[in-house]
Amino acid sequence: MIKNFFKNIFVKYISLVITILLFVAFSFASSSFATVKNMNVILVGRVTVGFFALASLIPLIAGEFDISLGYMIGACIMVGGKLSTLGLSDWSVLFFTLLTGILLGVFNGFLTVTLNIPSTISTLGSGMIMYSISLGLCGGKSISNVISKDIVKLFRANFLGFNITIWILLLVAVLVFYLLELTPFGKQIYAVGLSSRVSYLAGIRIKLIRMMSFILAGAIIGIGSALYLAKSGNAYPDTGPTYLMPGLATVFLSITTYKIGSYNVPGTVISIFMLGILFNGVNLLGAPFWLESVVNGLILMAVVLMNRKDSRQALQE
Amino acid sequence: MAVQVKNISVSFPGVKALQNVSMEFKPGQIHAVVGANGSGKSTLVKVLTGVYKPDSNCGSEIIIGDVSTKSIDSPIIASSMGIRVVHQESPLVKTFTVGECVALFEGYPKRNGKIDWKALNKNVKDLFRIYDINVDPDLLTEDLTASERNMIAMAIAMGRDEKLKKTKVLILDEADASIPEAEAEKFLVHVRKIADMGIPVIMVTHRMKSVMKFCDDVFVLNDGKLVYQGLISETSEDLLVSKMMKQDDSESKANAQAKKYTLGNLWDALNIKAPESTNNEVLSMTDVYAENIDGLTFSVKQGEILGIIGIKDSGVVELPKILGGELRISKGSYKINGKEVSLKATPRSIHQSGLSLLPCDRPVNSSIMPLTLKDNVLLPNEFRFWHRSTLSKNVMKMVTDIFDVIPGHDINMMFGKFSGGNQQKAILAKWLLSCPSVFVLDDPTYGVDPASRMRIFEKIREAAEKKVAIIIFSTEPEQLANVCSRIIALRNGKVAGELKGDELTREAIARWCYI
Repeated sequence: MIKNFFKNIFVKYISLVITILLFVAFSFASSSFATVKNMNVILVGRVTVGFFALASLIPLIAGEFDISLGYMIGACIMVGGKLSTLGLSDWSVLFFTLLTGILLGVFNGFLTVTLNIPSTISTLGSGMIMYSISLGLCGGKSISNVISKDIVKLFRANFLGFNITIWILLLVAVLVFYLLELTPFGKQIYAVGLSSRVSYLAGIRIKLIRMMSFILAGAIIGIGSALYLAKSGNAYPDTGPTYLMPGLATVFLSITTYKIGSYNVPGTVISIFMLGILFNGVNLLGAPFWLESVVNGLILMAVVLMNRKDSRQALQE
Repeated sequence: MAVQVKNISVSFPGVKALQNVSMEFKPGQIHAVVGANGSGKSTLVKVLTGVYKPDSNCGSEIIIGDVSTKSIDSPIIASSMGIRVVHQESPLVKTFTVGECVALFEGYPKRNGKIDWKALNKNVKDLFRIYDINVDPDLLTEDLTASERNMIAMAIAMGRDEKLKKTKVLILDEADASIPEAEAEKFLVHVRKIADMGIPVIMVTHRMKSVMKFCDDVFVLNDGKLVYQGLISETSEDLLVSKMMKQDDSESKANAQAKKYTLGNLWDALNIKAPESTNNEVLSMTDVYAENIDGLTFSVKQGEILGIIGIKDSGVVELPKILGGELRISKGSYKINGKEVSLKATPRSIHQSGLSLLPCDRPVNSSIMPLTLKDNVLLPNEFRFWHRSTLSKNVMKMVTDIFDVIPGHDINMMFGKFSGGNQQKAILAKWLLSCPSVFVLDDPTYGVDPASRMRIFEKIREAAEKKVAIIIFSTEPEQLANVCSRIIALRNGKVAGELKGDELTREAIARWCYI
């Protein structure tokens, strides 16, 4: 009984176990690793990736793959930057950054659900358009001082030793968890993603559900982008695409934890920690800068391999 | 040269698909193989085409011309032995021309490394001349009639020259099932010509009319056993149908242990009122047209259990989809609870107007295997259970008790781990949960074990007593005799007959379904 209990924990929370092991190992290897300050640095660096992962999680559960989300971050940020050069106030810049995310989500939903284009194609196309927006808005140049110093200071403040944006990310994660796991809407998203045919015959509004998954993804990207602007104060046109691979690695890793075999919020949150600790630790030990991309790519492939039915069942046995 | 199978038995875990079957197919004759669903017809075809092997210890022997073997190990070997098959599914690619489709199987003739279209056209015309097919190779296959497509499929299967010389037997595996009767006859005239070349033809079919008109002799399979063989001239449709019918499926004492809960308890717990009594029809269709449905008129009253039967192209396949809102009607009036159903109905709007449909083909249409039992049962009704975990726990406890879902204690087990019968009982519960005023069941007992089938029928009767109007479609129509209060038979998209009271016998139903 007790043995089973631990076995279950081990299988269900394998990545949490790995995270703790990594944490312990790096603490021994480097004295500067296990400090609140260093943890804060690690997590601040993962906040935008975290928003990306939470955003792409929802369409993935609904059976859609939104590739445009990385570019969407760039587009949101540059729209915010452009608006600030037009003289909008700080708070309205942040609001419109968020709104841009929602509108781009509606656009993706329109292409995929209304026009019925497969999501990998429609979001690849819309992603390219968003990339052009982020480059074209300011002629490819970056914009500094988008947000005034006071507000940047506000968002760089710490609460209980950790940056405010980390707490906001956690709050959004909790909300998404509630939405997906504890509301009828969440049950329907899972059902539509697993079998849209069964869901349709059961009377679920599958088009609405798929549409909402894109809009929610856009909204979360909008929040992430607004926080990025508020914390850094500057807007760089190249920001978006760099989040694609680490973000996908994070969300794909989530299927190894909590709800094995399906994308989920607790798994995503643990993955954010795990990858953050991993990359920070090996950097402290002096690993080369290009290692991160290699690891991200390997994770994507490894997770897809693990997600094959037979190996997944073997895990659950 | 004759083709023979001797002592063929095929077993799957828990099922004997064929038991000690021996048959002989003579050159120049068309042999019909008939039987109800699950009688072993397609297993026999798969043994002959190398898909299944007979049980190793049954002493099987397959004789094709002068070759004798214990089993045929693969479709490629079957083909090299001269066994040709035309399947129900067409081998033709819709967007290709006839010539290109033939080339997929025979290869393209080449000249200077390029495709020689002239030679291809000539090859195709030569091929078609053998089988007396008059079709232009440049036509797109989607522009052909169904019988032309079947003839070409047959020509491709048989081939010409060397391939044709090697042909020892032609098998038609329900090749005529998806085409209308008149078209099928045109096709069968061509089949006769092939038999006349001295090739034995095996025709697996559901159509008794075609059997009586085109075949020389007939084999009837029933539950994996060969129960009848004889010359067509010495038999009759009625005799064949009586042989095909399943022996009475032990109308046994379905373990009548008392249940703790009833459907009424379930609806009370959910605060759903059972339908109010009315003498009016709760569902009616008047002069409805859609796809194969051609001017259909019928109606159902509260508490009635109506069975709808018919052969494949009678409209019986489309009707449940039309009732459930998946297919739309093009003309006519369709009313649920006296209210006209919009021409733009969807499954959702139909559900809201009080009709629930249990669709056929459970794995595809009604169950989500990676979700839990609970999530599957509560799927269309999650809003009732939001933030009410005690209610959902109680409801699941009642559901597993009422419908005998086993194992019922673990409602968070993956749905895919339950057996087919238990899945189907759970899906039945899922739809009855919302207490529809009309409940349509499309093939509710397909692939379900006998005990679960009894339980399903029992619950259908209980729902009918609670004033739910029931409509049942089934691919094993004889079973409907046990449960229905009235049966209508469709033919050519219209109601062609009605069975009530004493007329409602298994024999009468079978006659409407197989003839």
